[in-house]
Amino acid sequence: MTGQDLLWALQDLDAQFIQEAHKADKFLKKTAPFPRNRETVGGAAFSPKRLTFHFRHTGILAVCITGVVMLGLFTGWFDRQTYIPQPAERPQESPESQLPDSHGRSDWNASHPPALEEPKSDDPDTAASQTVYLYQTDIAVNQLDDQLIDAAPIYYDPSLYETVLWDSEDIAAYYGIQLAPAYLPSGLMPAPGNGNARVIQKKDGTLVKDTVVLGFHHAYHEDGSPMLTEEVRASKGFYLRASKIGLLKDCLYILPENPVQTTQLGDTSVTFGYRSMSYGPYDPDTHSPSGYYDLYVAEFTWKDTEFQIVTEQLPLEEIIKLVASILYGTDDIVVLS
Amino acid sequence: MDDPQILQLFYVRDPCAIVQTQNRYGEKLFHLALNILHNREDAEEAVNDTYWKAWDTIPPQNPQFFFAYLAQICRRLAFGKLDWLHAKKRSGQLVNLSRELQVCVPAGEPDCQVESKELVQALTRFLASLPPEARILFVRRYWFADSISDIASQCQISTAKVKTSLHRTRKKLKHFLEQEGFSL
Repeated sequence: MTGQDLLWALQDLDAQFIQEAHKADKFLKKTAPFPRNRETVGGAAFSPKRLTFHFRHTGILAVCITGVVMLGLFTGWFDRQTYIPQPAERPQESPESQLPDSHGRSDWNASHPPALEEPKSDDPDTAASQTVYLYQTDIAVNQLDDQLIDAAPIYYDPSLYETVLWDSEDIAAYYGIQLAPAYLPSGLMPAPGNGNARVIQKKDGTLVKDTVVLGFHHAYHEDGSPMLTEEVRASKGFYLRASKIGLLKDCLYILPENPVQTTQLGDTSVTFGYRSMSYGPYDPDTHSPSGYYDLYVAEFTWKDTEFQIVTEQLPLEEIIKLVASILYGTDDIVVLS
Repeated sequence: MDDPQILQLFYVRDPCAIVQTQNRYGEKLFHLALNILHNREDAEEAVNDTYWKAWDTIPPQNPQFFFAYLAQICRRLAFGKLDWLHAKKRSGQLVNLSRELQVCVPAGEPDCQVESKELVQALTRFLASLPPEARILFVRRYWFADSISDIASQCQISTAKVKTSLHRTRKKLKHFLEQEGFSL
């Protein structure tokens, strides 16, 4: 066997690899950069020049990470602050290496370039495939507190307000956009009540609550509520809430020293959150849970509508795809690790 | 016109399919053929032959990845036109690629003949195991025969990075082929 044999053997390479390299070329040439925070890394100023491939600054990043690790080991700061990727069994640690302190980064929002390739409608090749590429490691994930902000529903006095049942046509007419994501994770089904919404308006017809909730879970009871999974006693799937008036904020992000990081997906800033959720049954003596599962939250405003997506027992990749599928109207999304 | 529309023209035997294919992918295919042949006339001929080969095979073929399908035809035709005896003069690039890949060949009998199909399958498994970035660089270099500088320019990374990535991938490939028993 010779090098020439190898060159010949590549002739019959899987078409998928060829297409990948071909599309990567087009992607790299035409699209916004892969996101990297380059404003301050390890205290050094970086040019905001476009970065379109994974390799650029890899060496610098490696040096910075090494530096941060060394610093953390010496100061003990690492133990207190930094994030280490953990499976769901380890509660209260964010899932990806995106917390600013762990990389010595700051002010993600100011310099965070778009994380997605935005399909160009005038590009026939892109329009045909509508493939959106993004890197999971470029998504900033904020750690959520155990406690939720008190977001108890507002009481609307029936003598002053009335509840109106909207059907799917009413919802579509009001929002003017497709609320349901184009992408649906495998094994999930829309909830039976997804076509309806109960909104509240004043007697004069002024709308005061327009929240629409869509559920997508692996299985449902007869009453439409999601079933719990066998192994992990929790539902598996996600809820999507949308409102033009405004959603009640119930997520408490715990980064007291730092602002909440957002990830720029196209023109939209998305706040991703994570917490490790416990599930029962709980030990009667120690009250320790049976285990933990992943809960992710994504919040963003798109086309004058606030969205909140909460996933349970789904990996980070899935919520990224869900958000991207809403923003880009395609289910052809590739999340690269 | 997008891929499904062009393919539809092939299915209904509309000669416009050739024109549309040329408009959409002609430049890329020519670049690919030129990388291999280093001769404009031969490259143009290979690309034209590609169109007619596609015309003859679609239908019944229904390629999922139209460009990849065309590129495979084009590459095969270009390699067929290549005179390896004179390749050193005409296509130093390709000779370089062979030399680069030579380091991936596991130690063993130099004349050892390997089953092409098995080698292809092994290469497929190997590439599937690579990170996407490394795989893309490898395919661009050894399948599309792009130069290092072209790849660096396209990917907006330094040539050193490209070389480093390719070097590591070649080392991995050698190790992989040894594990797969190709050194026997």
